[in-house]
Amino acid sequence: MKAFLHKLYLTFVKDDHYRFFLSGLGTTLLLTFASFLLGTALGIALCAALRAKRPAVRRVAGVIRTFFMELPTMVLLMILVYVVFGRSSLPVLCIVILGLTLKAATYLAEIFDSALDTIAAGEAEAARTLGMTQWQAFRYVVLPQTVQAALPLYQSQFVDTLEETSIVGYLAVVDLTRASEIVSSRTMDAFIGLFTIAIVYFVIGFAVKRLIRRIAAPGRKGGEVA
Amino acid sequence: MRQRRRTIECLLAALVLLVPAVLGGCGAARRTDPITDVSDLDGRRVGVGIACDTDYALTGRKDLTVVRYDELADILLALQYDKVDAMALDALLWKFTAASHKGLRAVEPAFATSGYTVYFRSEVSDLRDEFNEFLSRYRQSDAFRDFQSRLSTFDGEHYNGPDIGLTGTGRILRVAVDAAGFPRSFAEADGRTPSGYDLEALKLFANEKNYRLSFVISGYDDMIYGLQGGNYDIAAGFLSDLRDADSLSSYLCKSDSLYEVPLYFIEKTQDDIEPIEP
Repeated sequence: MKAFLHKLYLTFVKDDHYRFFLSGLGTTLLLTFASFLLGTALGIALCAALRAKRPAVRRVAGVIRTFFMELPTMVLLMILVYVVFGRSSLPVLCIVILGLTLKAATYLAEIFDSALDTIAAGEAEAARTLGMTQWQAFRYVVLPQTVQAALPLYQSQFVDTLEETSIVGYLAVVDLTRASEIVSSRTMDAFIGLFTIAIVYFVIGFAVKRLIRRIAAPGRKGGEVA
Repeated sequence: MRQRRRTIECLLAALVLLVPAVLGGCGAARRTDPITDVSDLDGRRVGVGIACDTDYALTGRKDLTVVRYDELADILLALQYDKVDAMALDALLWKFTAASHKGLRAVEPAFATSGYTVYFRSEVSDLRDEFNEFLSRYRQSDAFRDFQSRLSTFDGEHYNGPDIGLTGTGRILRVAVDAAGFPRSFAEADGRTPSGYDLEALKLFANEKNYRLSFVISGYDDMIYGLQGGNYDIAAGFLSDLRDADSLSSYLCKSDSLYEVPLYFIEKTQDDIEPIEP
């Protein structure tokens, strides 16, 4: 027990190591929320382009989706940081947010697209025959069902985005994982730091999944939404 | 409905507050003019290798921002693309880098000195004491003077140490060696034989005490985790003694310093860092 407490002291208290973890937590939260929220907006736009009436728009959107989906996140980030924005004075953190946003948007567009496919075309048409405008039919008939259909995968995508942030340490961005590496390189004891960040990642993922469910489907409690 | 809206508003507000705070911290007071002196680092971003000598030497300095990378190649890339204003390397790594790249210069004089050490599992701390006793004699010997002479004449490309054959037949010591630490510790072309400056004293020690060294070619993480898990007795290769001994977890102990080398700030002298053609 004494040895364990000493390890806790070395990992968090000595030389204010906890500040590495707090700073890393802030960066992880920023990267995750910024790229996920921006990715949601961009994903909706990409989904709209994938379902556009003009074939040229659909084709371009399809190429963009395939390109970013097939490219490993680390490779994409390195290309953005060292090639596309190589000489730019833009902070690396902004470039990383852009890269993670593009990745999240691609997957989210796919999720929204699949969810829309589950809604029978006849439902919107039936709403129109009842006198609803095109927007009203979408807002009151298609959208609620799409949200229900997309929600489980949407929640999972949040966790995926959270997990993907853990690679940004390779670009010298100090996120939660990198903070743990830095501290363990001082104490030469990795386990306490690793367990700590594992718990933090779990808590963030779990809490936000519940929050998304609460916002998107407030009537439902516990259990699966779809 | 109102609660949902409030939650969304709170989330957006938190994001709006967090973005400038973090981005502000990233780009704070950065300078890009040439470094005139070793004390002229105020406001600069300096790239270092994580858990390397320069990382420990610069951590805590308030006048500059330490940016930690995994590999030397990553630091070079960051310097090439102006993600950092300078990098910090020890004299051996600097020679190695200068031998393969042009467009760089070391800012004189050195800003610090680092010693290099060997880690022992705490359970074999008696070995560490034996090794330290050996080191105190070794550092007075002609062999050590020759060692220092070879260190100072290292050309950046070729390890100039002797081929020390292992003669021990007694107690087996499991030694993890960081293979990516040229010229301090690396694997010979066969991929199995470890070599380098950091291993010379260890090999001489084992021969003198009739210990049999069982080397495992490893990497930094495996070396440390393996030592902690009891897979290895000793870890060697690019382990700086600047790490505060009081900060180390109780499962390991470090030896006295094997040797010391100076640490330098390195900056670009031209826009592009170019590899030197062989």
